[in-house]
Amino acid sequence: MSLLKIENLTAEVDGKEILKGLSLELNAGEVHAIMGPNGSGKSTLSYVLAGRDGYEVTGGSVTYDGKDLLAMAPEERACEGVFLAFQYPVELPGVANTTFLKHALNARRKYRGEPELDALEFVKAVRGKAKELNMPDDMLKRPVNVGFSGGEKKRNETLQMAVLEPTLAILDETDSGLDIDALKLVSEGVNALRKPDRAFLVITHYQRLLDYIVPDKVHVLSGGKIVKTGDKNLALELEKTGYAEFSGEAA
Amino acid sequence: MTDNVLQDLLRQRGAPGRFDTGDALPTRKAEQWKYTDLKRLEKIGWTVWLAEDVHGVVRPPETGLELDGAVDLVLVNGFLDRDLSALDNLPTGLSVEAGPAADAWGEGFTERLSDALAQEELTIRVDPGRTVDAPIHIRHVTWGADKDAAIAHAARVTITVGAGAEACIVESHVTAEGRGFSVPSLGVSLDRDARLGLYTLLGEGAQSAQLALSDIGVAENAVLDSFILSVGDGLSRRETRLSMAGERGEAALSGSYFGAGDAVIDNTTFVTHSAENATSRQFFRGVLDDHARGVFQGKVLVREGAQGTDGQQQHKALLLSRHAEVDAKPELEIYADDVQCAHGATVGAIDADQLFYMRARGIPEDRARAMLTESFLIEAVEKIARPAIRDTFRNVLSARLNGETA
Ligand SMILES: Nc1ncnc2c1ncn2[C@@H]1O[C@H](COP(=O)(O)OP(=O)(O)OP(=O)(O)O)[C@@H](O)[C@H]1O
Ligand SMILES: [Mg+2]
Repeated sequence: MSLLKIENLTAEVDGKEILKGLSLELNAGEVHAIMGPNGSGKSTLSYVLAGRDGYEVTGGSVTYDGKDLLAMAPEERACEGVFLAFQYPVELPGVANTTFLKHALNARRKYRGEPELDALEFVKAVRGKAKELNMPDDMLKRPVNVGFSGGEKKRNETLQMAVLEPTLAILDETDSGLDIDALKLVSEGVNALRKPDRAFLVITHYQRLLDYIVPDKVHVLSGGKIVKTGDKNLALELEKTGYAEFSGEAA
Repeated sequence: MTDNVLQDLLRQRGAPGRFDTGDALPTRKAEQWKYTDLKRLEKIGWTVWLAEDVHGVVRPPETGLELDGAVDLVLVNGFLDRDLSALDNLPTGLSVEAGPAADAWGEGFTERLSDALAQEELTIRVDPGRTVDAPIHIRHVTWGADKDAAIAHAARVTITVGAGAEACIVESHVTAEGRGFSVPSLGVSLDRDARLGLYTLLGEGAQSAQLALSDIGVAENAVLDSFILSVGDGLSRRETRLSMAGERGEAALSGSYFGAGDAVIDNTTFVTHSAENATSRQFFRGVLDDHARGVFQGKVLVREGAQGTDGQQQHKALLLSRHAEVDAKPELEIYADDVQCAHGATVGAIDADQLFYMRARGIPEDRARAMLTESFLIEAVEKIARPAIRDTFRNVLSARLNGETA
């Protein structure tokens, strides 16, 4: 059974239709990449899946793990295992990174009827993962994303993912802004999470990421629809040809 | 009694002149009272607390500000309660005395009200050159024997920190029983090179009203670090007048306030720079929920000759409900030419992007709101220079907010 099934999804922002009948199916254990021109609706799709206000679904359906994803509040989706790594992570002045992570993790544990972690257990859980991502301790104490460099923010998103262990992770350009070493670390982080019962939707502009995180499928999103689907070689092709082929459909 | 109970109050206490029959309470037409309506005070039959006839009877409510090794001074309805206060083993260099309040009449409504009601004056002195390590906790308690009692009182406290001396004072204002109408006045003077931490909690109950006055003078090279946490459920106004009359004096005036229900919280400040190279920093953060109202009137006056003045003022408020309201009026009046002064005031709602980000990580909406509210207010708490006090206020604020959202 598919973990995520998007059928003929249409959605608008501020009265403007952005997603125009998008369909996509993702099985547990798979990694799918989504590529596509700027403004084609990739982030919009990720926000719709995460449940952001102002992104109005006007048609179609999204089934996640057999449930109607669109009927759930954002926090419920997160607790059900959906994770969105933001293209532009948000700064939270005054909220320490660890405090934030702890609340997030415990909210999820509570939702599942698991006991909440105490401060010590929590710190242990996070430290190791931060080390793997080469994140210094002081970044954990600092307010969430405040004053973080572009790459640090992306690493922080990856840390959150590693701690929260989602079932479905949507990575919206997590590779943008990462240096070569960080790209490897983040990819390793993702690969370490790959498991038969998890799936990843990886939005990227760069084929290079897909050398590290090898996708089962590559989709081209253009003009609010998936216009082509192929295997990892499609990314290599796109690298050469660009999106010119699809621009007619994007109009 | 006429319908103007406050007038009666004043007459009862023999306030001369302008409060005679026919005069009105300051209405919102008066500039200083434009945003804070005192009407709610007029409906209640206040009794003036006259005699110091309770000692050791009142149980001062917990405020969360109980600090290890603090010197407790308990004032019940404005009178020093000697049984509850730690007067016996005062640290070296600290003296505390209570005596009759001087019979003087100040200018302005609040002063006159305070003058009319104040009967005892508490004088705290830190001898020149002395450092008093133990925090001095002045616990103001409103107590009215039963729930329906309506007590009008005015504590008067004078603090002098001698030249080169250092002290840390924590003030709390809470209600033990009944309702209070209090007009506490605080006079503080920092002599040259003195250092004072002055940290205040205004947390009177919903039925109470407080018009607090503080008058602070900072002499040459003296350093004041102050913070006010206003979380009262009734009406609370704190009017702070700060005089930077000594060269290179430094003063921080920060505050956080949180109002819910029908609370009215008013921070009115007036900073006067009359000496060269002095610094004043005002940093206020407020959050208002339900039907609460917030007022921030902050004025910085730089007199002629006060060159090199650095006067900053910032106020930011967050509204959590459509019915909450805030009025902010920052003002700069500058008569010197080499100065660095800036003010800023913003009012907003909780940031939708931040809220979504937190929810997308599984944090329930109300918890996320509470966390954002708290972090917003904590920004002002972080200005407190003394770490132990900072932590304490952070906890008090957090407890208060979490009680609120439970
Ligand atoms: N509030 C809005 N009002 C109108 N149009 C909007 C609004 N928000 C987004 N859009 C439009 O929706 C389209 C899709 O945006 P989206 O962010 O999903 O693109 P994207 O594929 O993620 O692009 P990129 O590769 O640059 O990240 C864009 O044309 C954008 O301008
Ligand atoms: Mg995008």
